[in-house]
Amino acid sequence: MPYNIAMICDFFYPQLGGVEFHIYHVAQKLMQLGHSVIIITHAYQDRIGIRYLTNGLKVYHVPFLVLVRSTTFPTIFSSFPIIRNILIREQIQIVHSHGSVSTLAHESIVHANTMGLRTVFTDHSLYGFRSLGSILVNKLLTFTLTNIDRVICVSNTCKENMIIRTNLEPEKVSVIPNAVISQDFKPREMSEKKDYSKSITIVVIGRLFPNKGADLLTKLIPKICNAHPEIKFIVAGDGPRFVNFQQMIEIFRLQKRVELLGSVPHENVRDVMCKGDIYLHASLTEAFGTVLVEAASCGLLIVTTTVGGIPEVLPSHMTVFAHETSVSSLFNATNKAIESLRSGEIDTTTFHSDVAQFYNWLDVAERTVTVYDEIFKKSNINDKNWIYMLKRYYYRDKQWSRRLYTLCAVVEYMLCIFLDWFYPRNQIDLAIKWPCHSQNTPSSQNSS
Amino acid sequence: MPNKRTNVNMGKSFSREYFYWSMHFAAITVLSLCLILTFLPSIDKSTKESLGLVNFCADLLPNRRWLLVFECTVLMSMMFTYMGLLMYNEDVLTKNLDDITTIIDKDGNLVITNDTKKFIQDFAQNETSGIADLPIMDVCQILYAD
Repeated sequence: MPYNIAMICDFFYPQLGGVEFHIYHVAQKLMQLGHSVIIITHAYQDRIGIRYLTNGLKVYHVPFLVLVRSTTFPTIFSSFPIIRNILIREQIQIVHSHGSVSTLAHESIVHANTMGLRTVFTDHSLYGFRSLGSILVNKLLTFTLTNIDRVICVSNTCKENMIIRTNLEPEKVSVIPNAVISQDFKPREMSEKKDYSKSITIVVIGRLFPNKGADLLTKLIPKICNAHPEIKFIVAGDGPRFVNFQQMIEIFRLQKRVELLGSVPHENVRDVMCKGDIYLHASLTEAFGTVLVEAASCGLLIVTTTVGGIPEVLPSHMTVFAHETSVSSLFNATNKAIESLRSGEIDTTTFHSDVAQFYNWLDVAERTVTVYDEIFKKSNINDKNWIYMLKRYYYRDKQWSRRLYTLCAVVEYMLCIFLDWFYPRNQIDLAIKWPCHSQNTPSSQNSS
Repeated sequence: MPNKRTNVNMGKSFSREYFYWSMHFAAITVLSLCLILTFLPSIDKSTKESLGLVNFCADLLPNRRWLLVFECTVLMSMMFTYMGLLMYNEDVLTKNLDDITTIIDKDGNLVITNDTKKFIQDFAQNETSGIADLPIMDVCQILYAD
């Protein structure tokens, strides 16, 4: 049965990033499977109103005040009128929100629950419990996920993190990993086998933030350069630690051996990766690590820390793990990778076809549809009953927060009654759906 | 290596835990004090003298009026923020219907071809791996012209 799905997130094109690509590709593949998908996000500068992307993917850029890092101003209620209007206009059955720092995503889950629609939430990152910011995000998540039907996490580590943070029933949480478009990450054409004893290039791609291990890298790179005179580095990415990398190059006189590229657009990442033989990843926290899959797809051997969901992402023959997040452990792992490349015990030429087999977006979309099916199969008449939802809010968290949750829910119900009277449902025009195409059945897509 | 990780955590200081506990304690104290002070009955002038210790304690507390003023201000400013935000979104950020930015923008990556068949096959009924917009005229033609 085809569903009408609304993907809601603050982050979407023209901003570029993992979440944005995830939403776009899952939406496109869901449409290929015959479902109708729209995307709701906030307006980005002059990109405002409705846009149609290829394949008739409709994107609503709703004008909202943007507070910080392209997240809308959090008020819980003020997005209700417009979101309600869009959800009715598009005859949505399932609201699928993305990202735990996206205000719009949180708010629309609450609105959709109040309107009696089914809700799904996908989390893309790991959060801590120790900083004030993450405590607040976790409280907010606990509130919005009280009446959620299903939660999707990108890795098993992410699932555990989610359950601890929000005290959710584990059977409500599914794990569906990200994917890559393997055609966009083909390895370089090699006319003859490369002689690794002459030179090896190590690639580092990522935003240069402390949590991405930038400080480890500035100590690690000189150490490796010192030990192996034939090794070269390419560092792509920008961030607050960029200056430290420049200083490191100056101090150790590595101008000829370390190439700093700065920020690289996503479509050029493949070309950068193909210049290298080893991909080095020193991240301190990672929910999934799509970049590792992309690098492996380009035929690079991966050297990485074992934080977060990284150990789940790739099979052991593609990766060399540094079991501690320390310079010496990463150094040993890099040495091991260099040795195994030289001795020829690792064949990187099969990586691309392996990755293409493990990860593709159609598979992700099919698994997402399974999650949707399960919602309707296991639905209960009381799932979206206002009184039952209120009860769930009341028994949800600690003393102060649960009273606040209940208060917010009651105000939300009153708003819903007011809106049903002020903007009646039957006065909202229904949008015309994009003509569905029948030639792209799932089976024909699999074979191509 | 789970056992190694726990070893790493052993040497950590608990200053953050202490800090957040004291924050929690301070916040709860301030909040409950405010609530108590708000709902305390006011003392009548005639009975004031006879109350003794209670009167003494009530004199020590800050003037209740200020607290009530503060609470009202917070409540009203919340309401004004909600109304103001609604109006700002609706009247300032929302463009007119005849504004050019409702159909085109500088980040847009428009698909422009003269070949209708190619357009339908490659773009209107097929996804691209990069994000690309369909022109509004073609969208209208597909949706509203049969």
